[in-house]
This record gives sequence, structure tokens and C-alpha cells, in this order.
Amino acid sequence: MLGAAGGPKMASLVQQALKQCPKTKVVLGGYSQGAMVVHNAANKLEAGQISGAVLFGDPLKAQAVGKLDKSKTKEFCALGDPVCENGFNGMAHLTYGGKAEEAAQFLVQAAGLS
Amino acid sequence: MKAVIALSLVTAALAAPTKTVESRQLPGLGGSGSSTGGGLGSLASLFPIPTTLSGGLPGLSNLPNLLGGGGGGGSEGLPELSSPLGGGSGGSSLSSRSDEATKAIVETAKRAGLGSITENDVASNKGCKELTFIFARGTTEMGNMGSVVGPPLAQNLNSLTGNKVAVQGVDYPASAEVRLPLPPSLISARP
Repeated sequence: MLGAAGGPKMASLVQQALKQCPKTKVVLGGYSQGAMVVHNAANKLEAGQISGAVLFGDPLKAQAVGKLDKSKTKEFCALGDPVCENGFNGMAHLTYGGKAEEAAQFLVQAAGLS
Repeated sequence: MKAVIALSLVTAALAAPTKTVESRQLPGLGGSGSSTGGGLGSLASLFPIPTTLSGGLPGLSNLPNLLGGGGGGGSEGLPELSSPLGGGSGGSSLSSRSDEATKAIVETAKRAGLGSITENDVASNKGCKELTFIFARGTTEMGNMGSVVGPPLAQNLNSLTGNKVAVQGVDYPASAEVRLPLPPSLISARP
């Protein structure tokens, strides 16, 4: 299944980060198939291990991100993107670079760093 | 299910680069990564950040090679510079000087706001930061951060926090896999 390969890898990176740096706040991001990886990884993690997540063009947009509270996750789904909604504009799936600043602001707030 | 088919169609369409796109492909960014094919990667040239890489910064024409050098399996070190900073002198001191030069160029790139397509701060235990950002790229994207979303997001996080972010991309195949024919259970489950 798409995204399945990366889930365990991402989860173990989260655990490694927390082991190496116990005080760090970990935030996740995923684009397209990568968003599925985030869902997959989050389902393997404990509550509190992730402080926030942003998903772009997420085929699993309707699903929660593991045990992460909804207020700590943000989905970016461009109008017409067939991957995350029933759109017909494939190019819409390529526009998320323009959301980088907004997504960064969200993550910084979610992690309590602002 | 529909999303999976749509994703694979989008990917297939993108994986057939037109001549125009090919001719705009940036050097170094076309290198091998952990992704298959160059579909989405070759379109990286359409986006603001990658297109500035070959811009008019003097002496930095080798920058794309540096940023693309990490590949997917973690960075194997940056490729040797072909001396934008000179280096006609000496033998034994050359490699240490080019290491310094490499670091200087990568730092300049970071200051110029150009994010790298490969980041391994966690895997390499680079040092603890207040925030750790772990990112999974899209199908066929290059490096372990891709180029559409990952690098600009990492750069924005760093500028918002004053460089307090450790960045790590997920090394996974990100391949466009839709195995045809579809298994009967998926076909009958069509909405």
C-alpha cells in the first residue's frame, strides 16, 4: 500500500530524536504519499511524542493523525486537487510550496515555541 | 481508492517530462535519489526556490550539485567542488580547504533561503534543537525532503525560530506503485 514503507521509518526517527534530545519538540510534515506516511507513523506512536503535524495533498485527509489532537494538525488541500478531494486539477497538487510559511507558523505555534 | 488512482494518474502524467521541462532541468538536481524516476523532481524547476539556484550569484554555479549530492540514503558527504573558490594551489591542504569551502557554500545557500533536498540532522545526531522537524516527501520527489514542500517548509521554520530546528527527511522509496491489474477486492469496492 502506498505510504506503508515509510511509516515505521518515520516512527523510529521520532523515537530516535526524542532519545537523543529528550527536550526537543517533534513536529511532522508529509506531502502526498508522504502524508500517508505521517498517518502510518503516528498510529505507531504514543500520545505526546508529536507536538504537531502538517499534511499537504493528503489522501487520508479525513483521518486523525494518530493520537494527536485535531487542533495540532493542519491539512492543506488545494481546490481541485484530485488526491485530497474530488477535484480534477492535477496541477493543484503541486502548489503546496506556497503554503510553506503558513504551515511553518502553524507548527511553531503547535509546538509552543512562539 | 479514488485518491490512490488519481495520485497514480497524476504521477504517471508528471513522470513523462516534456521537452520544455527537461531543458529546464537543473544540474545536480537530476541526480539519483531514493526516488524512482524524475517525474516530480524534474518539475522542481517550476517552483520558486529551486529556480533561484542557478541564478546570478557569482561563484555559486556549483550550488545545485552540492544540494543534490546527498541522495536518498543519507548524505554521503558533499561532492568535491570544482573550485568556484579557486584552489589551484597545493596538494595536501586542498581537501581541507575544499571542506571549508563546501561548508561555506552550503551555509550561504541556507542564508539565501535555499533549503536542501536531503536533511539528516536526526540520523546523524547533529545536535539538539528546540524543534525537530521530520518530513516525508511525495511520490517520485528527490532526496529525502523532496523539493516542492519540504525544503521551503524547513527554511521557514528556521527563519521563524532563529535556526532552532533540526531537520530530517524520511528515507523511503516514495515510488509510484499501482500494481495492475488491481486486485478484485479493490475493483469491487469502488464507490
